[in-house]
Amino acid sequence: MSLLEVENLTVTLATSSGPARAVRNLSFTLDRGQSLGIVGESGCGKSMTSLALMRLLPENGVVEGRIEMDGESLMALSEEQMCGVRGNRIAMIFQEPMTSLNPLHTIGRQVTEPMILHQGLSLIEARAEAVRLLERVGIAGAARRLDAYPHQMSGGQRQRVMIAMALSCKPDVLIADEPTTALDVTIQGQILDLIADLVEETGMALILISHDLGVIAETVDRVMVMYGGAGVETGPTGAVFEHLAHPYTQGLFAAVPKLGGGRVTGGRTRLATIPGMVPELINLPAGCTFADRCPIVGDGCAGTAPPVEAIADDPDHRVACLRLDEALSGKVFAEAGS
Amino acid sequence: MTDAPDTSPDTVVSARNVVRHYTLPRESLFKPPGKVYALNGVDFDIARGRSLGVVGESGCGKSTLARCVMALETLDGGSVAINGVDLAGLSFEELRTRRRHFQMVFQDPFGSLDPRHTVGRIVSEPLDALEKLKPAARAERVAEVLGSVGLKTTDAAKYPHEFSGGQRQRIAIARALITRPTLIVADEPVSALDVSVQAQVLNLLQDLQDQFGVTYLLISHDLAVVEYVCDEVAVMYLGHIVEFGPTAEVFANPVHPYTRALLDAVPQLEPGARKRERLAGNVQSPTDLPPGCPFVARCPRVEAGCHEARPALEPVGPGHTAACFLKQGL
Repeated sequence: MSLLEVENLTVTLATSSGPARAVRNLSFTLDRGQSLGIVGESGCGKSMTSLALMRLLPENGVVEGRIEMDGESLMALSEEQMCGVRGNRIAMIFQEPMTSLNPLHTIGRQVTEPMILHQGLSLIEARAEAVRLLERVGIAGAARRLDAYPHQMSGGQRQRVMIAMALSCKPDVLIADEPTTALDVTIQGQILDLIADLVEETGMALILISHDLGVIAETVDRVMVMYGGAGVETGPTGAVFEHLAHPYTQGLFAAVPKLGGGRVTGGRTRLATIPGMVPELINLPAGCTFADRCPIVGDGCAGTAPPVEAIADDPDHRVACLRLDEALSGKVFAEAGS
Repeated sequence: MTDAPDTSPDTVVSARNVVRHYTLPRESLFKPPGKVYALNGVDFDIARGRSLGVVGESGCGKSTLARCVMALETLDGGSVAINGVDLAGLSFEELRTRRRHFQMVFQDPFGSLDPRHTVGRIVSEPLDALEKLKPAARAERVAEVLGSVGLKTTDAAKYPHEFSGGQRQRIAIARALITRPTLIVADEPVSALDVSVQAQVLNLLQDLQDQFGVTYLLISHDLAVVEYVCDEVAVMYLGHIVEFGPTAEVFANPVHPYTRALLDAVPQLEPGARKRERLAGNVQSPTDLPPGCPFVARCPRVEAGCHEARPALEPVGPGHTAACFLKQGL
């Protein structure tokens, strides 16, 4: 039994212009010590997936499918029981370190709160533990900083505080939703290193959500590529980046300007682009969500949802594409520079 | 470099020793108010039809530099000349008419377009400010410029909310292009866009340069974007240019320790964590201006002399300059 099992997760948001299927038929499992990266563009459902796991969806969201943690269904829990899971067994780091800390409370109060609430620590014990946590995440002079307010810290430090908060109850699953998007590149490196070290140290499972292929490639063991609410390709990071099986994965990879692969002196390189734009979740095709932008789209693609199939030589690397052989045989998008 | 602005016809932008300090609110009656040292003497030229990328982390002054070049800020020292005309000496009216030569594209395609105006009105507004055109002639210009950024003529009647982020950024680029400028200053033009859409906008920027010969000053925190679009790159740290040169040369042979750290920190598309030299500490606040090298607090190879004097930009290769005392040993 895996730590976290998600099967056929579907999230539908009721909007004024009709139901929007933010996530559809998503399945994955996660074991202790594993790290899963979810990568995709805006509107692909990656944040909705994490909110569904935390049961923090907006009121107009409806969840179907199965989410189990250690064999226990999270969806069957009452709101009160769920409060005992959130921040305790599943913790989350949000994207915006600037806005996800409460500006009116000290750092100390915010870091100690989950420990007092979930673990019944006294204030003194919790403060001692908070100092240890803040030191672990690399905040200098942690004991003094407990009484600081969020505005007195830089973005990178605030993200470290967020991480300390998330770790305070020794969660089994850590969900990091774009943890470094708002940070400078040198600070991003520090934070990613810290998260990777902590996963190794504590043996918790990590779900890292990012739009940045580079961040995903360097940090996680397994990766899932999402498009239009569906997981189109999933597998060990090495295999996915080597094969780039799904046409969308290929397009995404080709569209990223790569450092060192850029401009050729004297001539210009063009980036490969995926024609069209990210789909509206309201009018998704019934079949493959990528059908209207896919260069190798065939007759059946728009009508039938493609089954998730393993690639011949690697049962762990699974792709949802009806025309997989064609996608694998040649590069669908011309690579930049070639 | 000489102190006089370069007035040769092939130089579009000539910035000399640009200084911009912001005064902070006074905290005490008896102390002088603090200052933010946003730009501390920045020099560069951009030749016609070329593009310069400015990279650096938040607070390094790159956006202030863009605003100074656009004459949206009053300089505290130095000068910026565009097409050989020093902008500082101009009256408001003279400056307004000269603005046809330099236009700007902003970062946020959602905040920079007025939601209550049609695309046609948004795009033609710079034109209205400059010359009186007959409605038919104006509509023709709008159609022409929308066509060149890959939008339809009929889009002129629509409102910004009907477009996606990438299309909005195209509208913003159309608005900048309509005065037929020689220089476009783009402040993080693609950082709010998705990867697949970002590629479309970057290709468009290159096509427009090939087609119209526009010159770009591109501000970005993304080194790969700069490498892709720009001929030359300036690396900034705390209001100073610390390294400058042809993009390929600077990225292949970085000299300044900060440039090296910046390049090294970019996550690569190869699976598995790499061992790298991480920079310790945060970007310092630009509120004080110590006498030494601006990078001294985070530099992995700092020496005693670095604290005392500020290194000047010195040649380290063809067209390649760096401001570091230790460049010989690197």
